[in-house]
Amino acid sequence: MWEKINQNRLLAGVAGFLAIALFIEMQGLPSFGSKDAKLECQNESKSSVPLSETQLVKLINLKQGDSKASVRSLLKEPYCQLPTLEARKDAPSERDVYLVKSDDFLQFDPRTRIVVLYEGEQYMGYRFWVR
Amino acid sequence: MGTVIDGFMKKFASLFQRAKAAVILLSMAVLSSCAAVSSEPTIQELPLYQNWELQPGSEIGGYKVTGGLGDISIALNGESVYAPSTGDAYLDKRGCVYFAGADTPAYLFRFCGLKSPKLGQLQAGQAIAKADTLQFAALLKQSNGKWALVEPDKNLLERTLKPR
Repeated sequence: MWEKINQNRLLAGVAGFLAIALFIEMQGLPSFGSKDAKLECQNESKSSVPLSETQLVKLINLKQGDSKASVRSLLKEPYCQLPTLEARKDAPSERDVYLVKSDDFLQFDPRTRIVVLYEGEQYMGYRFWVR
Repeated sequence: MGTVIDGFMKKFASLFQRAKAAVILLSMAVLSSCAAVSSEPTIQELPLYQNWELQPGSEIGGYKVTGGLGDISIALNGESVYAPSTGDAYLDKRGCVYFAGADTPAYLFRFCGLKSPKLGQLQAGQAIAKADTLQFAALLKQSNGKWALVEPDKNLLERTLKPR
């Protein structure tokens, strides 16, 4: 009888130890307890069309310094915009956010976004936002 | 009586074996997660628009260069630097950290002098590392593929120095 109780106690102890160890271990993970990362989307558009693969290829081949008007006519209406930001002194930027139509992104990472940055009338660059 | 104790000892031994197996499994999990951390995201040396031979991380006269052209030196005195936005942190071979904000295309922010930085995906406001003296530089990609050192905006720099 007492033998049985001790066995259960030992198992409970081991289980407890493992639970505590796992908890400590999990706290080291980057996603533990942190909020889901989000872009500060403004002026969200319902009529915006996700970027096609053809548009993506053209986007990748754009040169820094291309005109904002020509890039916007290629990418069409953005999904949303980010608040104005100055990354360097006296150069306020406009940032457009696009969704991606490609299956690879839709199936495996539907939250993929592309951020496009302009300074003045110039296209500066893009960056993928994958989460 | 002897057999009861004997049986108990055997049970105990087998339980002990099981516990040991559990501990081994757990330590394997801990070790593998450490291994995942040690495969650090690195970045190749960037071609700089204004390239000086001596840069942070270079060596001169047997000493390490800690700052160079375009760096703003800040006496952090052991305090932390924080990710200015959601993004990714990479380590270069000189030991400097490059932060690529997901919402700041065309820009990279370089941090030198950090102590054991956190690399990979970071959330806005997440601590990257502590530093005694931080060397901060803002880099902007040029149309020829090179990176120019630019004057960083003070608000952005301030966000990297204050927790959220």
